[in-house]
Amino acid sequence: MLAASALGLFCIAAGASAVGGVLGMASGIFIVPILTTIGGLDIHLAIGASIVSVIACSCGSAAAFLRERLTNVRLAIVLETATTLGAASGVLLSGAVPVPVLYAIFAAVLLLSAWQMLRRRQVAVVPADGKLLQGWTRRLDAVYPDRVPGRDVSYRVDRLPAGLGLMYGAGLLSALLGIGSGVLKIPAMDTALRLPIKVSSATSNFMIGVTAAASAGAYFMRGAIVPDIAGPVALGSVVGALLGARLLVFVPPAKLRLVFVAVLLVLAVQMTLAAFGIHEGLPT
Amino acid sequence: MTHPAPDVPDRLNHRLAQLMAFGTWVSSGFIAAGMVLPVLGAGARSYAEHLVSTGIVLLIVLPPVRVATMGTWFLFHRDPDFALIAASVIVIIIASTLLGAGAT
Repeated sequence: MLAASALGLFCIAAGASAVGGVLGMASGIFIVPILTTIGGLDIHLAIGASIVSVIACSCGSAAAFLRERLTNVRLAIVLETATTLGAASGVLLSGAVPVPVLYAIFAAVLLLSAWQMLRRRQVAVVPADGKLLQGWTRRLDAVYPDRVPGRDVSYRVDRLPAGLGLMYGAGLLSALLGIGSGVLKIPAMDTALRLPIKVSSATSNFMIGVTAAASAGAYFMRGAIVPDIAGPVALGSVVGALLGARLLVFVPPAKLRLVFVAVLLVLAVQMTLAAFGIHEGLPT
Repeated sequence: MTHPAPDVPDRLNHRLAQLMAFGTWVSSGFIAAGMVLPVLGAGARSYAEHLVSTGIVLLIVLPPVRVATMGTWFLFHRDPDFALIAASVIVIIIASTLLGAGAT
């Protein structure tokens, strides 16, 4: 069993984190299905290891985004009130949700992620007669450097309450499933808040570490984060995040996107089977 | 009511970048040392596990430390709104950890 060895766990996490990094996603969405359906791990231990890997991915790549001034730190701290509240709810719920339901929710998240991958993310356009929030929310507006025009581009933050609502859901899913919750953060950032894609990706990446930390502390104290499993997974995630940033230059994201969708669909089928208690035929 | 453009000082971004990079390397170093020591036959297994656990705890603590750093920065730069928001996030994380740990 590959996942039984530290080297196997390290390689799985590094691969998942590198591929996820190229596509702007945390590795958690791969880690839990691989560790449970292929590695045969208990889902709660897989979630514990995965939540640490999500923190590792976030922390490992945050510095580069911050130095490039792509992260909106003020917006991040405001949205983190909602994601951490969601995470707290998820932690409290996690013990009460039956394992088959966890598998089923995970399968749904994988399918939604595959669908999002197939759709192209688009720059949101604020209609001319659009009603933008005024007052305090305007303090979240910022600028980011865009290489194409070669100058700073200013942007406005819109529909903050809708964004906060989606972020609460993202935090809940993150704690419940041990993932970064890009499936809810991408619509929250792109559609509700109408952020430029680069700012959206950088700010989302910045936030997932804090969101995950809100549940990881509780899981660690519960004993659901086992050092023998979470250690290699975390280290692999950091290495993978660094590799992913370099791979971005060499690998065409369009081709990788199709592979990513195929892998997500396979994992979704396996998680659905697991939800119904069917483990036969899965590699162990 | 209009506000001036919230031009976040580059120094805050730079300081946070330094913190995240340093914290990631230190925690990864602890985990890597704990994984490599048994392979090299150096040190007791319990000591290696302790190193890995320390690295994991450092990694978990790093994002809240980042929030605290932001809160302090906002406080010293006379931005009490964002300092209060940062403090709220810290309180939620602590409450989530304590309540969640007991809710098994």
